[in-house]
Amino acid sequence: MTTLETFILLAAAAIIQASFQLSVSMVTVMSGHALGKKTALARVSQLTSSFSLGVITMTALSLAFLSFVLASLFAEIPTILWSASSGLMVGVGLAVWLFYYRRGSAGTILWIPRPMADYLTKRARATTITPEAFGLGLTSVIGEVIFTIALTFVAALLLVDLPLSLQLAGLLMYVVVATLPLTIIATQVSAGESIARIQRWREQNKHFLQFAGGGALIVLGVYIYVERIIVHFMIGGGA
Amino acid sequence: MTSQVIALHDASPHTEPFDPKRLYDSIEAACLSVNLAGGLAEDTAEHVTRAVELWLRTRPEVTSEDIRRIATQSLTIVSPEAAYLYKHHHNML
Repeated sequence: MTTLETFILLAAAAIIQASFQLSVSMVTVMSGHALGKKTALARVSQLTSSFSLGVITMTALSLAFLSFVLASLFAEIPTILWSASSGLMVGVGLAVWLFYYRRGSAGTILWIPRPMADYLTKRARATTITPEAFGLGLTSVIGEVIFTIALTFVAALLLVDLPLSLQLAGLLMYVVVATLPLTIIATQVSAGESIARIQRWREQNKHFLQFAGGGALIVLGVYIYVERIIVHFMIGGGA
Repeated sequence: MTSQVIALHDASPHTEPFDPKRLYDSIEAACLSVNLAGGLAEDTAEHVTRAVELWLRTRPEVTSEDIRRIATQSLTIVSPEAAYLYKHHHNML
């Protein structure tokens, strides 16, 4: 696999992660509630920025940690890990299609258990200071780890596969792309865009995002399996 | 006569007296969330609360969903965006 191909796959994985909605939901709830409590727009902007920074930090940390572990354990990534990652992506892709949004519900109700959703909603509403918003951003990434673990894992494998001098660039690209929708929404909120308009857009496009995210996960999983397992064995380089 | 409201959104559904202040605050918050001016948000909240109170006069027992539906109808006339947010704020996460 060439460096360019690795970067393209990293970008694809980041775009799929960008379609996941827990962080976006939480920033929408948090900013909507803060505005409803007569909080100044500048303060809301600080809260959403801190939240976004928390999400960016945790996304970067989890990817860097996994890459570090893989690089420490293996001089060369074993075929079995590529195989496991592609299987994981296909499985998660199917799960996204089946479970990501709660069936038959209005709005953008996600898969997460209701007590946990209630707790996250309460925390998002109660957030009034920037460190709290930062912590909430960190938590939102952990909260969605069931769906993002496959992408983070494959991104870590791809990162380790890059030359050392390009690994940081790969990490930064992944984090920037994966958190782009959140950054855009945080910017829109700070610019005074109506929360209702943002939420309506999310609701109208939720099935498209669900289908595209799940489908792309499956396609990426199959592509990696073919490229890393089948082609690898066909050219006689099997582990 | 104060109408009794069956609160359906709580973990354990229960009956409580209708609280106009709570409705007013919710409507005002929804209006402020869509960037309506403070004065307009207050006027709208007052208008919607009155409309709901009028509707409740002949109804001794209603559900919280009924209140939400009637408030949304009234709020939609003034601000469709605020009405959308008020109606769906439980369905965002």
